[in-house]
Amino acid sequence: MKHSQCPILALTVLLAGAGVNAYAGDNPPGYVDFGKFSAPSSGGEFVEVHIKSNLISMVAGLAEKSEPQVAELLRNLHLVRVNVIGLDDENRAEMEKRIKKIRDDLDAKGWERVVTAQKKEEDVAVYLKTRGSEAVEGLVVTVIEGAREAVLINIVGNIKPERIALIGERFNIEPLKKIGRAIEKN
Amino acid sequence: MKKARKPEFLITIALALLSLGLSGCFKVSSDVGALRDSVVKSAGVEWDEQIEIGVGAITLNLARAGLALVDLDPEAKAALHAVRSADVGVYKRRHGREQLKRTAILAAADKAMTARGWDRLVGVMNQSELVAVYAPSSARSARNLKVCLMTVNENEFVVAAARSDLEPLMEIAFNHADWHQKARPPL
Repeated sequence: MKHSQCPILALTVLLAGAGVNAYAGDNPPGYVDFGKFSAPSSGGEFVEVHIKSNLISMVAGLAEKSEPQVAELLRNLHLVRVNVIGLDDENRAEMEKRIKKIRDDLDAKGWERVVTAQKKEEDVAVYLKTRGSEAVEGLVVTVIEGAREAVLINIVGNIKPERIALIGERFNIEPLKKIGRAIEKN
Repeated sequence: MKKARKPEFLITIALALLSLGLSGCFKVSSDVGALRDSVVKSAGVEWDEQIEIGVGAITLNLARAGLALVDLDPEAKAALHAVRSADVGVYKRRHGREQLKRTAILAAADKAMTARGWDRLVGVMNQSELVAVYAPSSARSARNLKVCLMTVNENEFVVAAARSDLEPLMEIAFNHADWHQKARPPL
């Protein structure tokens, strides 16, 4: 996991839209409430992106002409949430605990863990919430990158499995590119 | 001669003032004002206004007419045509070098903007800077979307808003999408 601020800002410019309490009352199946995060007191990186469906569909309409595939993908997305929290001595233990709890909750709620990768200092887990074999209703990426940062991504929608690679490509999320390629092969 | 010119001169002045008034010159919008006030109140330090300006449709049309004579890059022209209004305020810290309470500033800005029906799209904090971008919760049309932005560092802060037609801007963004993909590292 490299510096994530630029891609996230770029993603936001492309999608434009937000709201931390979106879906508070009526959560779609693929939505995961990560809770609120605080910026690290040492002044490390802290990024929050929360993009709601109204602005996603707005951008989908605009992308129709030049990027029909992307437009179709966007039209089926309801929410994109990204949190990047810089880790320091004060919040590292707490963040690791929170991410473990999120992963345990997803396991308990029947989300399918499609990627578990632990190498060197990187700990990645990717989960999918599927509706039969026809659609992915939610996607969660959790990453703890050693001592540097934690990343949480939740993409909610009605996503065709074969489109996951496109999400990975367009949003430049490496684990999703790999999952997508694996799905396309099968 | 003098008597004949006076009413013309007065009418010209009146029209100019009317244009400035209608175009929103010299005054930032209430949304940008609310964002500015939230930073000033929550930061706990004193700021000096460097510039505060708002330009509306008439001023922008005048600017476009003027720039039509200049050989501008077509994308810059398209971007300029997309903008319907813009406000910006720049404020410099008066004194003190102690670190700002960025979390408190972001919380205050969120509160002020949420109360006005805005959602935060992005919040970014690092050691030197705080950036937040807001859009109206009720936004439905890409042809006339207003976005507010705030950026704060230890020495100054900027609040800005722009109302624009996203369509030409998106076209520019998509034209550069491949370049952007290559330029940034993956998540």
